[in-house]
Amino acid sequence: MSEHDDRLSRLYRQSSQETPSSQLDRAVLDMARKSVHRKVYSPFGASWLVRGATVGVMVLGVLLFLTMPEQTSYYDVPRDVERPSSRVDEGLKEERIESDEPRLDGTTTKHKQPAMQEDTGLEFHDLLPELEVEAEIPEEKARRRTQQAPLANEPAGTSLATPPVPAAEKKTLSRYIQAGSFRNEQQATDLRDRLTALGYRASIAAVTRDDGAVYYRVQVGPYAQDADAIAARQQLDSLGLETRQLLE
Amino acid sequence: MLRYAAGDLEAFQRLYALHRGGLYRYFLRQTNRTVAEELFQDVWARLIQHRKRYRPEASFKTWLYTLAHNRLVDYWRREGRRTVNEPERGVDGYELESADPDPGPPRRVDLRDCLEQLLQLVSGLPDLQRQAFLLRHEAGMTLAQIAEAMNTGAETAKSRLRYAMDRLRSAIARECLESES
Repeated sequence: MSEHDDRLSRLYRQSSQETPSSQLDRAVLDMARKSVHRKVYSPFGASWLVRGATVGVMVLGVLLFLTMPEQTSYYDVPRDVERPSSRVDEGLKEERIESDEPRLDGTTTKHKQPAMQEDTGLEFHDLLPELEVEAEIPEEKARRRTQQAPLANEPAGTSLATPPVPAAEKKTLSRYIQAGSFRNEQQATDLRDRLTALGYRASIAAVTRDDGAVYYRVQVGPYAQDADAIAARQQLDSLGLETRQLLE
Repeated sequence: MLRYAAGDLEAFQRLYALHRGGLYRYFLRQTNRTVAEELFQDVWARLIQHRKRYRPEASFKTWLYTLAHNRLVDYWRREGRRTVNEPERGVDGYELESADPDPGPPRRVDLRDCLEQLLQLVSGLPDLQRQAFLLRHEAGMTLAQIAEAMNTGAETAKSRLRYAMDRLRSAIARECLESES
């Protein structure tokens, strides 16, 4: 960096001093505060206030339990006290009902509820109903068939063993993965931001079809190597996204 | 950020205090005050919304400014601006205006005039060069981080920053750069 560049940088830092208004600061900090207070379930959260409140609720729960032993031994655990261990309570309640209820014919007639599925944490599943599946465009299909046949036809487990691509071609081609395509720009924006948060390079390309309809494609990439693109595609597929590989 | 995602509000307050000024000016130099405030608030809202998806592979700063870059591109697209999607001449070399070979003797200039002129010149840079300049000077990013935030390669980011500096240096009054000993 030349002496003039240094001077330019110093000059810019001197000139650029604006800060957001206090109203704007308050609005952002309020958003953060509300989101934390709304979402904290952990009984051992970071704030002493949360810890105190949690202990208070637990003590109250124990007192209620001790003062109403007859009610709790049969049917209703108080439903207005919501605790993190409610799923365990459900199971215990069901066990109690089964063991105490008289059997008239000596057979077991109760149907146990199916076990709740573990939360997989794959939150992209909730996007699936909003994803619009595009009709195949004949020209694009033909283009992809000629350019990407080795990639598209490979089974997922063996796709890393693609035929070698000439070195010159590898350097010049850019591989993108399409993670979704939407008519609604906001949905595309939301998916792109989620992918960005996961560390992907995601962008939106607005594509106008022949009939005038505009689609917002969420693309991940570019990848210089086939192997990287395929690995990324498999990761995105595992998140529940319906991906396509694009070549530009 | 991970601490905030786990519910530590103070961690967010520290992050916000660190980045509020730079992010605000990043938008302010590229839009107007009303739009800058809207985009600024929107980026933080998205960050809060997606905090649990944050992965520490990328630095927080890179993530924040990637969101900011994306929001700006969205805004320009809504406004019908196409410059960001046009082929980038800067990679192969912009036609820079050549400096006056005989600018004459230096004049006395007021510092405030220099500062004002520089801000106007920054706002007048081509979109992608201006973003590279702001990511360097407002966010304090390295070239690698600028490349990641702008979703481009390191060489392209380097070119954009270089052309931005060249343009500013050639356009600002010579006295502004020479008045400081």
